[in-house]
Amino acid sequence: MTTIISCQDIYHRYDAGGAGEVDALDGVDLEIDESEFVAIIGPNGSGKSTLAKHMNALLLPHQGRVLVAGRDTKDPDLLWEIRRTAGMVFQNPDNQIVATVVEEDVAFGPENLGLCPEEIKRRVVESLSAVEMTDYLKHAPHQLSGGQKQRVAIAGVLAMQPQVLVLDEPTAMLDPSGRREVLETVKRLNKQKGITVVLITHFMDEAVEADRVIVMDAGKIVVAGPPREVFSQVEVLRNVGLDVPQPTEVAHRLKAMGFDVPPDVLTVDELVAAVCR
Amino acid sequence: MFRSVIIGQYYPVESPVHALDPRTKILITFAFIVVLFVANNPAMYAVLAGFTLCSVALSKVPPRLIIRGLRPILFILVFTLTLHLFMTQGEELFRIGPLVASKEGVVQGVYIAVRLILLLFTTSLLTLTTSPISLTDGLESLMKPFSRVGVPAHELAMMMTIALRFIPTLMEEAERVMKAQMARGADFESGHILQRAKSLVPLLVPLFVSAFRRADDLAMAMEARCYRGGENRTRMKQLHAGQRDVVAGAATLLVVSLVVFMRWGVR
Amino acid sequence: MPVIVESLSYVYNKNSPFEVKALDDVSLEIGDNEAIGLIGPTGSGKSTLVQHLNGLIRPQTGRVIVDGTDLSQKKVDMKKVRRRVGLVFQYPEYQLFEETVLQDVAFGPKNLGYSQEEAEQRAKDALLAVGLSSSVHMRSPFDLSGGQMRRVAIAGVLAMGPAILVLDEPTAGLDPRGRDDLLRHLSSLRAEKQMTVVLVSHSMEDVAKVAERVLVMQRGRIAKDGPTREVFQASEELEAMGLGVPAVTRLMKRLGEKGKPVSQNAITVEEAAEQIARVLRAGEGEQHV
Repeated sequence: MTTIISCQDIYHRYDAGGAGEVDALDGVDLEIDESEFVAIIGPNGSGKSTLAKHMNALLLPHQGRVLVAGRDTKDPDLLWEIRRTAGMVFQNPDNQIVATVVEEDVAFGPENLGLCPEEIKRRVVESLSAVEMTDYLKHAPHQLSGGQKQRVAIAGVLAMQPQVLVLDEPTAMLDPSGRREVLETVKRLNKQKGITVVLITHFMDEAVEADRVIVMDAGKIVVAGPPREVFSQVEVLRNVGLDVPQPTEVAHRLKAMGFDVPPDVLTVDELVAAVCR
Repeated sequence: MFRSVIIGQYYPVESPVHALDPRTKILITFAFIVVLFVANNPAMYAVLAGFTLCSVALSKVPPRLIIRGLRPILFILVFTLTLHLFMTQGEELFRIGPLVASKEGVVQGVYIAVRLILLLFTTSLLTLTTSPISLTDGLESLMKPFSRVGVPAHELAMMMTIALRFIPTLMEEAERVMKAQMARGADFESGHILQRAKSLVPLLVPLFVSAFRRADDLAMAMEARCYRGGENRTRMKQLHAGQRDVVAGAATLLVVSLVVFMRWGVR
Repeated sequence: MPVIVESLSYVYNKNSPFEVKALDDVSLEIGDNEAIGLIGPTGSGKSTLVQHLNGLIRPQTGRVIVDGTDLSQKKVDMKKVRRRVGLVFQYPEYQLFEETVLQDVAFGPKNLGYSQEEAEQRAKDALLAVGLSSSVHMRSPFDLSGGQMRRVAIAGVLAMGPAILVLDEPTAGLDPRGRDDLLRHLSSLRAEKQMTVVLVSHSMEDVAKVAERVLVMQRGRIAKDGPTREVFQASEELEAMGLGVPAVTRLMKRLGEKGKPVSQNAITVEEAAEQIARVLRAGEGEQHV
């Protein structure tokens, strides 16, 4: 599998103060393969959002380097190609939509790339269809729900035909149905179109869907691996200040009480099967 | 909570005027206003009034909406009329105390009033038949040639679009902040003017802070989508001036020429 | 003295093409020292109902009586109502505006008529109650972290000394540690001040941790009103409404279906583990016979 994003021993210093508050990165090494679905979890202040912003050169490392599809983010000439390759969706659904009509907002990215009007139109239709928002072509953003706005934001990024989709806590401000919408859309894009997905989240039920889970704390990667492996390390996660899925926690407690229950159950079904053996 | 905000006065209906390229409409309005100040006799005003009434009829906009546009300037109209009535020297018609109303005053007053009314009708017609987005696109296109001499056409248009986009969002937020402060006992309604101005601080400060934060977030999101200003940027929507625009332009040119000829042509 | 809601209905944009019936004949009573969870899908009327409780919205039909004051009357002492029922909106940190944390938290008490000193003392007490030390008092609220700002905002309402504190999604956007901290503070506050706490939330796990009574709203009506465990029993019904139940509740239900004699009452991880342990031990006991 080819590596699409490579973070090589990166450091980022803490930048104190109000709205510009940014957490530190304290020596992070991370390789992400094409078409992988990676979830990055961690408490507030762990640096997960900072790490995400290094992947599309919104931030540059003070030490070490970041390669996106082989391109160094420090090279100013490659900046726009990198941002086209690694598209990013942010936490606040409203503060990403720039135009008064959905259609025009999705066109924003391609317009910036200087594509011709027919190509832009084609991509707008394609992207909205990929996120299942075709019916909302002519809607105004304020008429949409949070989940719909985030899907429009994703479409806006897809219209640039990126290889990687980085999502920085995209569901933090959504209600449960909005969260489901966004997660399903992201999973589908990953499985059907092979788009690499990097999902920053603090919802465990989202992280369990990933191929690989990276746990961060205080600017470092603490644990990484398939969800099963990571979530079974309940103590580590607890110390870092994170949740585990409830079934996993129950299994963990049962094991501590001396029962022979596998520690890596993730879902209700798995635990039921284990108990009824 | 259901929220439907109609921005500006745009009245969406299908009509030949609505279908015109926004640039055409902007230029016609501009030309009309200029020629309005050239007119100085009843015949010329009649021509211009005729043109306006035809446009209103073609636009399929209910006349009451256009007349409603007069409401804000009603006071000015009456004031101007009265001023001219009593301040112009001439043949006395009647007097109220020391104030003398003259025949010339009546004529002048009426001319000014008609000018104001036609001015307002025309600009109302522009905003009633052209959506804010179209207006912005039209203005940007018209300003583009001037960007070579330093007019930031693209930036201005971008600012207008973003402002329009966020008006409903900011209104919702204002309502939310207001409710939150009211829940803390804030009173936005009672007290004299100074008190009420002061009571707006808990509403305005959060809105400003939030607006700055939005601006920050939005800028980052725009950069993430490769925005780097207006250079080499294309547009999905293209404005197309067609036959209709040529006809409308020609008609306007005719009217303008006629009035100019009436004013200066016959010596 | 409780809050009484009687046959309350409310329609937004009445007589317009955008008419929406948000509340449909809602009746309920809220007493002293209760811990209530209010759940329901988006659009079910939770927000509208909650805004009636402190008079932000006046009843269209029906009555809302707070502490003996009927809110449908013409002249109502709103300050008295808002002192009694404190309402914390979602993302309350967006309402901060003063130059210092102390001044912002004192805003509420000052509006109620307390003197500067009294207001500041109340502010200090409230800040302590949400776990913020005096080191933040003189700082600008915009200088704090998101989690701290949220607590300042909540303190701002607490300082008014409400008997009923309604919080709309207080843990939204917080990380797990922040969420647990906040819920813990709320529980101890309730114990200390004998306040009624109403938690409007989408998180079933949060509600299971904090609430003793659950109100379920759907399409402007109260669909369920009962003790937490009882309400969460009806998991199919809740799921059909588009709501979840805590994962452990689903777990116990499934185990019950498979014939394991687990008590269906478990709503937290601890309870679930205990229950399953008991059953497994019994099973082992049988095998050794």
